Amino acid sequence: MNQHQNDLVINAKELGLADLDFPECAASLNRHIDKVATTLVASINLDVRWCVIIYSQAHIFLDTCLSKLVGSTADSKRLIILTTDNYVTRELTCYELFRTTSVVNISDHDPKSVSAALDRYCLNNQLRIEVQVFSGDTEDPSASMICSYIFPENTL
Amino acid sequence: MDNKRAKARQLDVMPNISGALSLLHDFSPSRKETSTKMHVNLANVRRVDSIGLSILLGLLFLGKRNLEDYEIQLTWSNSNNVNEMLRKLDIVKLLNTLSSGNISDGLQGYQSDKLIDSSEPQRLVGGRATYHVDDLQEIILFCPTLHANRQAALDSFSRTLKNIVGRDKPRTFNHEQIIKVFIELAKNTFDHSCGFGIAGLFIANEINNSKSIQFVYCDTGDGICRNVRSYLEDTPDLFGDKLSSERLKQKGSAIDFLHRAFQAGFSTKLGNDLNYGMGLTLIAQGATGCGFNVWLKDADSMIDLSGLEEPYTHEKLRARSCKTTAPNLLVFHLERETIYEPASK
Repeated sequence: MNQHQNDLVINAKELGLADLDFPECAASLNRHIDKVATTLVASINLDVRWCVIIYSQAHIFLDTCLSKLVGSTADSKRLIILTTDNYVTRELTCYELFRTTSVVNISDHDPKSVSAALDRYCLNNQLRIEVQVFSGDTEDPSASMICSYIFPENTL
Repeated sequence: MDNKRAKARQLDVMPNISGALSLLHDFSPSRKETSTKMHVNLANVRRVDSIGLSILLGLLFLGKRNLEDYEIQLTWSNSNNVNEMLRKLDIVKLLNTLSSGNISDGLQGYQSDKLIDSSEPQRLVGGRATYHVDDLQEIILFCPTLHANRQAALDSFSRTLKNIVGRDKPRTFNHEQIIKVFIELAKNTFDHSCGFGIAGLFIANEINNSKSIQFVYCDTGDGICRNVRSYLEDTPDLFGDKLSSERLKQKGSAIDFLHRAFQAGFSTKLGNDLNYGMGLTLIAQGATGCGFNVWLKDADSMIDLSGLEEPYTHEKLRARSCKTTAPNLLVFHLERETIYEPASK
């Protein structure tokens, strides 16, 4: 696998997997990630714009993204999520995506606790997560990003 | 009383059932009215839309549990345009789903020249009924008991929403996030309410390339305040302070209970791996995040959540609330104006 192949780009909508609120659809995306991400994967660019993601199903595919990256032998590891979910704050956007992942304890009810858990996980595993938020008012893929949230915090 | 011989309750509907005006109705039964037969009289209705009809249905079936027990008689409006809109909104199917189901479509005998020609976009005025045939108006029922389990109910609701919202082309709002908001509302109905949900969608074409977008979700169950109060009654010393816990249970206002319901991690069903106590925040912030104004009505209070940043403190909620004498229906109302680029010809 060459360097280019270590940087995965996965577009859920292009794969016909926009209905990620359906468990079987989330499971299909999970199977795809599991299949294409090797132990050499350095970055996963997960484009879930214009997909319906609900927090109770998001762990189905995000846990695999995280475990593949953490288990990778690459030096620098990144997960980039492109989303049209706009929950106004870093904490709530993070909550919506990661609340049910294995990174977060069952007792972390507060959105701040969830983002703190994600920060810790990233630091401990030398992983960088960037959540890029785009407007869902348009289906134009070239529309500019509204904001991005980085984990661990304060790392650019 | 023998229900077969009981007289149907006469429910006269006001002339304008558009928007939130329907909340002015009060169909609460008096102590004498025990009949499960209802006569819904729409004769005087001159104006109707999907938002008003959703609220009307919510009020008609507020607190009713065994829907199959109810029999509905329907008197149609004297206005043809209103009846046509009612037919478009599938009122017969909706009422049949919500009752023992024997209402026939009295519109069958209509003369065709009185019906709307849907091939020709136009604004129709009949009596005081005004609507545009290009407007997108739909009502969706979320009836938990009609499905095998929670996931099947949510999947069916989600599928219907996606089909309807997908007709907004080119899109004028964040479809996926609003679908998520509705799914979160439906989850609350399934997990907490013992009632059912009625979702009204109205995307109206306005002048100057703008669209007025309105969504409403009515829950016919007990509502948030009553639910939280019951939970507190069954859960002594929830806050480790017996005095404040007792005080809240006995003297708490709607804002006290709503404030409790908005607290991160508070759920009356916590620990079941389904409820994490953030549902209301995700609903309010999800709608706000895609530019909608949001208000919530429950018990005797209405709260304007538009643009309100979390955390939802007691002070913030109190400052944005007002009292209402409207019936005890739980209503979420979302609204937004959108300017869009006209499609090039």
